[in-house]
Amino acid sequence: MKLYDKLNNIEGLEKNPTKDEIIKMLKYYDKVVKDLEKSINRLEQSGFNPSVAKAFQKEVNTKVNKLNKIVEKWAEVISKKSYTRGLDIVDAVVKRDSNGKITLKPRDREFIKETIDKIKKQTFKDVKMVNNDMRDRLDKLAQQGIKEGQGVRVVQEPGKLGGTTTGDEIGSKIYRELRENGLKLVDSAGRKWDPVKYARMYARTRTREYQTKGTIDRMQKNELDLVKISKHVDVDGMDICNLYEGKVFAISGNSDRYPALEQRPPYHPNCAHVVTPWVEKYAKKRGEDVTKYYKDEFKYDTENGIIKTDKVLELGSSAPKTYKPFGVIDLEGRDQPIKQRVFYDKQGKIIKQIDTNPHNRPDNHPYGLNGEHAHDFEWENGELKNRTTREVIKNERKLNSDILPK
Amino acid sequence: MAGKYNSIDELIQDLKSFKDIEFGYNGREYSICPVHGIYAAGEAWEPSIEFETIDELLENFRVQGKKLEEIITDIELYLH
Repeated sequence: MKLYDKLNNIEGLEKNPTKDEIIKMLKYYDKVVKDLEKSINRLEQSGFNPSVAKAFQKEVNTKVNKLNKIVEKWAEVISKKSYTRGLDIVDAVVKRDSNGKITLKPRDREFIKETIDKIKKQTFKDVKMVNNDMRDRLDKLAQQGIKEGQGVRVVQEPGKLGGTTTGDEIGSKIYRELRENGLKLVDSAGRKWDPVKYARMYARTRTREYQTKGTIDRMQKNELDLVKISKHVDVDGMDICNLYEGKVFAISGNSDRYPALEQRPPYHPNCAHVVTPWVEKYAKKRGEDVTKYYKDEFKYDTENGIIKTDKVLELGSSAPKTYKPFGVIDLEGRDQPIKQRVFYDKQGKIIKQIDTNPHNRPDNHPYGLNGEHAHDFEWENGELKNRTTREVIKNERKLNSDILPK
Repeated sequence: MAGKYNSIDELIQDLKSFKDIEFGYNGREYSICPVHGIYAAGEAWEPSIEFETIDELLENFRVQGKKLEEIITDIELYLH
């Protein structure tokens, strides 16, 4: 089946083209971790015997070096496959949507080669860094174990040195350190990860980033500016991607009608969303209501860079489900000037709500600085069908800074 | 000035429209929030009691020992 046929179903579109390579790599990580766990057990049983510890250090070094070699090859394969998949998506979607009427320029082989080389090097650098970091930590802990173990052996009388420390206690302490901190990967934010989980998250997220890059590069080379974000089931209604999915954006940010693509997928770790080209002319021909993707026309206070509200309802009032197109209503609060801001779409239907507090229910609103949060409303056949809850995003925070906690 | 409900149907309509409801009764504050597919209710800043449906909420949620239907016209609405 050709790619443009597969794209007719969402599973085909969002499927990770490097799934097999990622799984293979995860299996390898898993094996390395299990082997090292066994070695740590042996090390503990030996009471940090210097020769066992040195063998352990050597083993860690060998395994991480081998892992790095595999990662280098892996980085090359996944970078190429993901980026190329991004290019292929443009060709396939444009061909499908235009029914073959749009002919894209030939691919710029040199540019593609350079780009893949760059992202491959970055991937390898990232993964090698965390692998080496794990190796150094394990090495340091083994070294520490040898030293402390020697100290205890010299004293011979457990309990006399420092009053309570025994050889067993030292062994257990280092062992715990090895298990809890040594055999972990630490990301740039300092978070500790199980190596397999980290590798999975990193691989899934990075490959999606490269795929998006491929799509956008190919589109820009062909002067195509509009992209659509894929859509899939949001299980708990809290997916941050709700803001983007199924919508159309302009890569350049220069469109009068479509909002700028300020953020590209992946929107979060493990994000599966993809961008696809979207040609307005053919969307119209397919009968798609293109106006639903247009930029909002809310009024802004340009001097302060905030949303302008149409009216403020007094305490105890209720915002209507429908109001004027692109209307904005504020609701007074009992303990704060504005409790809620309600937004209406181009048809005057309630579309979004920003609450400045957790409604006295912080356990259900674990958001923001003080429980402030946002809701998005979903309509179906003229009926209000659902409301999802999420964090207030950066841009919204800026536009509504007059009512949100700082 | 706080708002008022004239009947339990108005509350039901608000919940069906996914409105967060903050109210006072006998000097104490309460709220009901349709959030993540459930209805979270309770006294302000106390742990929430969660209900799957509006019917379940109306049947089992108690405000100072009373069902919402019993006190609906007496509560002071701060937000809905």
